[in-house]
Amino acid sequence: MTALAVGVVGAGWMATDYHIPAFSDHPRTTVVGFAERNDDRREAVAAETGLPGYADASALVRAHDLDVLSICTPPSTHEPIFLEAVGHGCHVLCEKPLATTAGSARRMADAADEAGVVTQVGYLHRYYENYRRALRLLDEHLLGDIVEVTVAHHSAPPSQGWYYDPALSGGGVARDLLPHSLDVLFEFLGPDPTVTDASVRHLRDRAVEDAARVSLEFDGVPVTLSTTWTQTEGVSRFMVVGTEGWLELDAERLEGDVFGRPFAFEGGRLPIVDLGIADLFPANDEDAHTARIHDFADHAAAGDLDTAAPASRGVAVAEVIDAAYETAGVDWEGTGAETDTPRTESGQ
Amino acid sequence: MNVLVTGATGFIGLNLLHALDEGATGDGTIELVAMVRPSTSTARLPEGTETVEADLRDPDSLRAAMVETDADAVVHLGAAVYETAEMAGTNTVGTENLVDAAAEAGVDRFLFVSTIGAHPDVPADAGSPYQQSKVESERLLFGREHPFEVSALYPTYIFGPRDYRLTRYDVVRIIAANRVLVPPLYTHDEYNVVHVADVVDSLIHCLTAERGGAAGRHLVTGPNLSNGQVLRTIARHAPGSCTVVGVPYALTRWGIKPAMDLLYRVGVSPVPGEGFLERGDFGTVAPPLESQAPVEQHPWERALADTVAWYERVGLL
Repeated sequence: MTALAVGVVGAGWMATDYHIPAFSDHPRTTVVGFAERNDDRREAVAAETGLPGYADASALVRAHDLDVLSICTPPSTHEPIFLEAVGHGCHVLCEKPLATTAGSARRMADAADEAGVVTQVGYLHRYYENYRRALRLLDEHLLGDIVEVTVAHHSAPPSQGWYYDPALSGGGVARDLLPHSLDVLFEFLGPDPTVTDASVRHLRDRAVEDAARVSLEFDGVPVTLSTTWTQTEGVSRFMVVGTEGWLELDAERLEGDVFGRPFAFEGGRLPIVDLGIADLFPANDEDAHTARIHDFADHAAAGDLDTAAPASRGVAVAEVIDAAYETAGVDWEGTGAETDTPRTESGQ
Repeated sequence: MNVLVTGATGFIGLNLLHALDEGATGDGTIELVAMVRPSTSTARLPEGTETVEADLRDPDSLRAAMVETDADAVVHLGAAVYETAEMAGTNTVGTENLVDAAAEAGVDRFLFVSTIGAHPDVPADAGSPYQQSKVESERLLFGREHPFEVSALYPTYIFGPRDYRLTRYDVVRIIAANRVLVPPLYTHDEYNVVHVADVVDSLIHCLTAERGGAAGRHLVTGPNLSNGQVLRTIARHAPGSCTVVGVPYALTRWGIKPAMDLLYRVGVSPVPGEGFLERGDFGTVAPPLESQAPVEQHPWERALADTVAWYERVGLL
C-alpha cells in the first residue's frame, strides 16, 4: 500500500514539532516537502529534516503530486492555500482558526465539499483523554439534563507578531483561543448556538483584544466563555452542571460527581492506587497534537470525510466568533480583515 | 397489552424498557408507556418510547394517565429510594393513589417491585425508612381486596447496567483504583447479588403468564456471597490490573484495627481502625431463600461483570 504524499505549508514550531514528525511516523503518510516564506527558516528546516523546502504553497503543490496538504500558516493565508489544495484534490488538515471570517470559512467548506476531499480543522481539546472521557459521559447523559456550562481558557500572549495584526489573524484572543472550546461545545450541546452577550477588553496596548467574554445559548443551555492572553502557564477548563451531577476538567484532571458519588481521572485514567489520603496516578505522557494529526491521517487514508472536525465545523465556529465580535461592537473593517455578516443572531 | 410503567427512568425501569425495545418478548404483545413527571428527562429512554406525564402524588394526573394510555396493566417501579423526606408521599401515599387509579380504570394486573426486607419471610430492617415504606405498601397490596391481580417482586442487592445513580460505583471504583488502607476492602461484608435482568425477566413473566399464574409474591434472590467473592469477581472484570488481598478476620481484629488506629492518630491514615470491623449486610437471606426467582436466573458473576462493563462503556472506569 503506497503512503499518501503530504506537503506541509508554514514551517513554524507547529509544523516542525508536530506536523512533520506525526505525518512521518504514521504508516499511511509520508512527508515529501514543505513551504516556508522566510528564507533563513526554510534553509534551517530543510537542513534539519532533509526535506525540500519551497518559498510558497503554490510551488510546493506544483513540485509534488500531493495527496495531503497540512496548513500551519497565519489565519489570513488559509483560504487561498486551502482552495488551491482542494483544487488539486488534496485532503487538507488546517490549523485553527480555519479562517478570519465565517464567509471565508464557508467558501473553503463549499470547495472541499465539491472536491469530495477529507478536511479537518486543528482543534485540540477533544484529543486529550480527559475530554474524550467527558464527552462520553455527557453523550451517555450521566449528568442528566445539562443546566449550564462555564469555560475558561487563558494562555500566555503569543510570541509571533501576526497574532496582534487583525488583518492577518482575524481578531485577538477570541479568534485565537475560543475555537478549541467551541468545538467541544458543539460536540455535546448541538449545532445551533445563539450569542446572547459578548464583550472584549484591551488589557495591554494592542491592536486586538486580549480579554473576551462570550455568553451563548445552545438550545436553552446557557454557556459562558472567558478567555485572555495573560502571563500564565495556560489553563483551559470546562465546568458542566447537569440536573444529576457535575464535572470539571482540563487536560490534566477530570472530576465530578453524580448524585453525590464522586469520580476522578488524570490524563483520562483512574488512580493506580487509592490510599484514601491520596490517589496516585500514573505519569501522563499523552500527546494530543500527534493524536489529532494521526486521526486525520487515518481518515485521509481511508477517504473517510467524517472527521472529528471537518471544514463545516470551522464555519460554525467562525460564525459564533463573528457574532461575538459584532455583539461586542468590534468591527475589523478597515483593518484589512474581511468582514462578513454573521448568520448567528446576536442578542444585543 | 398496554402497560403503564412508573419509575420508568429509574434503574429497573430503564432496563425493562430497553429489554422490551430489544425484543425481549419476541413479539409486540406488550406496549409499555413510560409515566414520567413533567420535569423528568427522557433522554435515556429507548428512542420512540411512548410517555405520559403524571405524578404519584397527584391522583387526578394518575387517573388521566390511565385513561390516556388505556392501561391493561401497571408496573409500579416509582419510589423515592434515597430521599427520606419524600418516602411517605411518594412511596406510601403514591402507591395508594396509583392503586386507586388502577382500580378505577379497570386494569387487569398490578405489578410491584418491593424490596427483600418487605417480604413476610424476611426480617425487616426497622431502621430503614425505605424498607418501612415498602412494608406499608405491602399491607395495601396484599391486605385488601383488589379488582386486579397483584404480583410483587422482592429483589435483594441488584447489579447491572444503566445504574445512572451510580449506586454500585463506589464498590467497583475502589477495586479498579486499588484502594488500600481504607475500608471496606478488608471488612467482612456479605452480599446477596441478583442481576437486574432477573428482575426484568420476572416482570415480563408476571405480565405474560396466564391469568392467575403469576399472582402473589416472588422472591428474586441470588446466592449469599462474601465480600471477597464479590470484590475478586469485580477485579477480574475491571480494566487495568486490580488486586484484591484477602485478610482473615482475626488479622483484622488483632492487627489491622489497632494498627490503623495508630496510623490515624499520627495522621497517616484517613480513617481510624473501627471501620474495618464493620460487617455490612447487602440483602442476604436465610439459606432456604437463596437463588429464587420465577424465571431462569443469570449467574451472579454476570451481574457484576455487566455492571463493570456498563461503567466502562459510559466512561466511568
